[in-house]
Amino acid sequence: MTARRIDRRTVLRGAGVALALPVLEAMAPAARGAAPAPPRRACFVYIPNGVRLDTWFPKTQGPKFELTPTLEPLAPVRSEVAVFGGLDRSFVPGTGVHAQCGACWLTSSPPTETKDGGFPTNTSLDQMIAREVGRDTALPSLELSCNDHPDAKETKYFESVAWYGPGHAAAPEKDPRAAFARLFGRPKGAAGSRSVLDLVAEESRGLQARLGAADRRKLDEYLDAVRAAERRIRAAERAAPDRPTPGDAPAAVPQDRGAYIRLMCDLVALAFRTDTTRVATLVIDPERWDSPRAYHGVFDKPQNHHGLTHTKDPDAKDKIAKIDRFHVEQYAYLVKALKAAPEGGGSVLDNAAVVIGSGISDGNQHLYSDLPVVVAGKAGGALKTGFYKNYPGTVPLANLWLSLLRAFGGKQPRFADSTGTLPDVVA
Amino acid sequence: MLRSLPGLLSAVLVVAAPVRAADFERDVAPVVAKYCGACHGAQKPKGGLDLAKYRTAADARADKPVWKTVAESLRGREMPPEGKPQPTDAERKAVEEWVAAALAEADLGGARDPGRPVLRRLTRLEYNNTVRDLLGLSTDLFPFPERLPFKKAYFDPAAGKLPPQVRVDAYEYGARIPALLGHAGLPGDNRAEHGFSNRGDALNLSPLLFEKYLAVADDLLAVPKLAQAAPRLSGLLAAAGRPSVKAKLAEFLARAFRRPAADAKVEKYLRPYDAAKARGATEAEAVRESLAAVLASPDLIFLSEPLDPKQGPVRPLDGYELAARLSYFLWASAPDDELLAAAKAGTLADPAELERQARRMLKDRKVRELSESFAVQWLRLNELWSAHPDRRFKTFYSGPQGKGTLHADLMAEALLLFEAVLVEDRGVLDFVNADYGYLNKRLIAHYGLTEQFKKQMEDGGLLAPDDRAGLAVQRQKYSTAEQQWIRVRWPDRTRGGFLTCGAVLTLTSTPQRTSPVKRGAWVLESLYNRPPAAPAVMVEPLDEKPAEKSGKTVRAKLEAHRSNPACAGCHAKIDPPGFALENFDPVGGWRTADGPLPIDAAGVLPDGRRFDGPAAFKDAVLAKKDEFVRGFVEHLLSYALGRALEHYDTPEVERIAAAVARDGYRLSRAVAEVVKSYPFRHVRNTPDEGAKK
Repeated sequence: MTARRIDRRTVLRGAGVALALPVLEAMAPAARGAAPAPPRRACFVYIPNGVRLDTWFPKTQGPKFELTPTLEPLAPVRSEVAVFGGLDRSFVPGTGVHAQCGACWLTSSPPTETKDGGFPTNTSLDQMIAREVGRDTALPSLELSCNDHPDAKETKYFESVAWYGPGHAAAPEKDPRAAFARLFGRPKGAAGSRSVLDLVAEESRGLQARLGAADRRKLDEYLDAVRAAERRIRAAERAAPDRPTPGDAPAAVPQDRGAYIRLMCDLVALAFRTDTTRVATLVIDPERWDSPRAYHGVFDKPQNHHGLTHTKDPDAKDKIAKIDRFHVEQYAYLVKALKAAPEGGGSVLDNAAVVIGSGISDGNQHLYSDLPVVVAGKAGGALKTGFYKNYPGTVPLANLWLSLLRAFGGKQPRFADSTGTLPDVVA
Repeated sequence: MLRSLPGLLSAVLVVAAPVRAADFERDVAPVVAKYCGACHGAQKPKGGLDLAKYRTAADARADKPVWKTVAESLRGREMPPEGKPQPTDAERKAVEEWVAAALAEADLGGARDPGRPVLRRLTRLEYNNTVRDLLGLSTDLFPFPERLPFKKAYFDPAAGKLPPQVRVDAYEYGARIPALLGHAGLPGDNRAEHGFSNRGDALNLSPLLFEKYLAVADDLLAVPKLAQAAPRLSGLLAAAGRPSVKAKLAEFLARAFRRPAADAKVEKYLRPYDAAKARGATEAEAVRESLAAVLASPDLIFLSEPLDPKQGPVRPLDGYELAARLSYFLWASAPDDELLAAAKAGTLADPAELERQARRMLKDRKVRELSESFAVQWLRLNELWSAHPDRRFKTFYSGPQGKGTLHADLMAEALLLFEAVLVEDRGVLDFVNADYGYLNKRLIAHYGLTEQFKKQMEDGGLLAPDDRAGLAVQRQKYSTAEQQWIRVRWPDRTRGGFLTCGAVLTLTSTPQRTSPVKRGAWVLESLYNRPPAAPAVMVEPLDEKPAEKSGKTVRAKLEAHRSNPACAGCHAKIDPPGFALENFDPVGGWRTADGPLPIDAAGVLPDGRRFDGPAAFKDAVLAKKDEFVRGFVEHLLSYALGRALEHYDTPEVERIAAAVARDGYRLSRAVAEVVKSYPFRHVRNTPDEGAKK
């Protein structure tokens, strides 16, 4: 094994990637020539069940916005974030009230276009960005979730924010060990093995020889697909011997809630830093999740986040504010880690857009308007940061998504129900 | 004799005595020239259809699909249009008979064309069911949206009777449905235009889909205690040593590939096992490598009917191919052991045995897919969840902020009608005109029938106090009383059949108003399998102001629209059925007025059949039962074959429809005749696209 190993403690412990920088510099793709523009990267962090609005949104708009109790953890990166209020989505009756919050948060379908049962799911923003910037990386995109609860009681509509197309969820990886293996290991699993691919390709050629002209063409689709899988696996095999692996895989899923989420953030940062992928989604918890969850260092006892949003007493509202702040702390950790990672004379954050948000605002009423969303990073200069902007009236969240898509090279005239881009954020 | 079997016998006559050419020139061409020539001549032919160029029988035979349309337009009295000189009955009949004979000709090297073989990828539903049955799972393999959100404890086709009261548990759409792999899955399949999602030419296989097959296989093989979850796999998983593994694998391949695997094939599928063993893998790991290959194999994923160079231009399907056609038609899954045994014994070559097997399969619970896949697509019920009626249709919404909807209830009502006909082997005419139906408390209220059915609801426990509480309300869980569905006898004929199901009426409306055009197009496509052509000209959008403001009903606005002669031709066919249903609002509720204006539900069909509302419209449909039965048979046959029907299928469609009529229109007769039909049992055996069109 010629792989250079990086002590995983330097990478995956404590301050995460910040400590591992000297080694990671060695891992970044070598010799990119005379400093072409660094690649742009995007990460979307999803928080379920909405937020407490009065402790989330600032009162002052513009660059002098105040950091509310919930947003306070963003103080060190205040000038790197854009905070948005008043952006809206529409709920389409026909599914559960929570089912469209996360599932349709990033999708490019207008609410009236339901090609997937009752759901307006379609290719999601992250996947559209991956088409623009993800062609050259080992993984076009990375989908992660911080819910390793064993009962797996929710469907993809609650766990997935990334979609290849209508009804076709990009299921998230929940186990940091498996995610690590996918990023830095060889392709695994019996199904991807060479002997399996060789066999099914041979079988399809055998079948093809016995078919008429039209059916032969049809079976070409299958052969092309097998070849595509082979190409990917060969590329990974070629790359593997020289490619340093950043230490051993994480040993386990951390029991500490914050440590679990930060470990997943570390993986995103690692993947970006090593240019293994340029697009990631990170689901903090499934939508409508109501199994009690421990928030270490915040509460003594596990809390039912969804239940709290439907509990009418001041104590519950305070708890929601604390959970919101806890989530923003983890997001701030990721943003700071990317800011601390130098690249092309700036930081990885300078070339990225790192988004946090929820698909509903008020969890009790299941409101799909006035959604909380924060964007960190300037996407290589395509985006402006350092302000809070609230949009009165109905302004589609899709306008922000269209602005982001354009920042990553997308030429689409529209995104879902967008009515235009947001001039405030487009540089 | 000759008169009763014109199609088949005249086909023989064509071969025996080539006098038909004279017949075309003597009996057909002059009639067409006389009555059609003014519009469909060489100069600026209407609709681009020039009939003058067909001078000889050979000309016409080269373009049979066109002549099929000509004959149908004459038979349906659609052409020549009203007000133009009409051919005599004898003249019409001559044309129809010549065309029927031409369509039945044996023009494929002396044989009739059974259609080309269709290499057909399994749909997502079929892949799920196939692997489910292959492994012996008690649940679905993975969740997918075609699996309707209903528990179907009530569905027991062997009982031969749907009980007078059934319990339907509906999940919230998107809720977790029991599945072995909660988060695995495949991308969905698009339905073919005017066809079903199982149509081979519409199904693609993308690199991504292939990777998903691999991922599903990986996920499946990583399931802890797989042998417990998949009892039919336990033998193979427990096998140790190459000879034992080989024996078990051979059995497994026979079921996975729907035919016995030759020794060479079994050896091939042992290669991943051997390779893994050579790497030092454990026995269990090595077996899984071979299993993964099976789950991603083209022999599993595709239904294929390869060429046989030893046979002529048409070959009968072998027993295993017939078993697969049967099981994917009726169960959307792989053949069971009994079918495979019949295939092995060669008995499926006997049409009587095919019918016996089909009738056995109709009594198996797996036939639910005929309802949930065939009927759902046939009636376009899969589009129901995309219908989003305006909030002012209050009875459609319930619960806090109206986030509960009637989607699932309306779907269940339609499915229960199909399933009543299926389970009780009733006549397919019930689909048009049933005097019974199933309703729950919510739909009874929605349809305004609470008073009529009060006694029955009381007796059935449907009026129990609401037992919902707390979060359950937020999630629109049904109360126990709302899960109860009772079989009702409709108080009058305004309700009954699919035409008047709220599901159909809702999915053919816009959010704000009814759409006689969409409803009419649904009737033409779903009931008659004669979908209207897409609009040829751009039209001004309809004035969307409600009747209160515009002072016009939707119908009045449409009538103004139709004054455009470019639209009138098609809309004379499309709109009248829609007008007949104007008494139903956009969510299927009964109405006699649209705002301040009274509803006018009268109309006349192109052939002169008149009606003045939904009941009379059903009478008009039943006055020409054959047209509906033919449409239904075509849908069923197309679904069974996994391909679009062609002109050469026409004689078989006519034969099946006649047999169905003779047997009281029973659904089982339609199924039996489809599986015994020539195109179901045969396939074209030419290496190119060589058959004449």
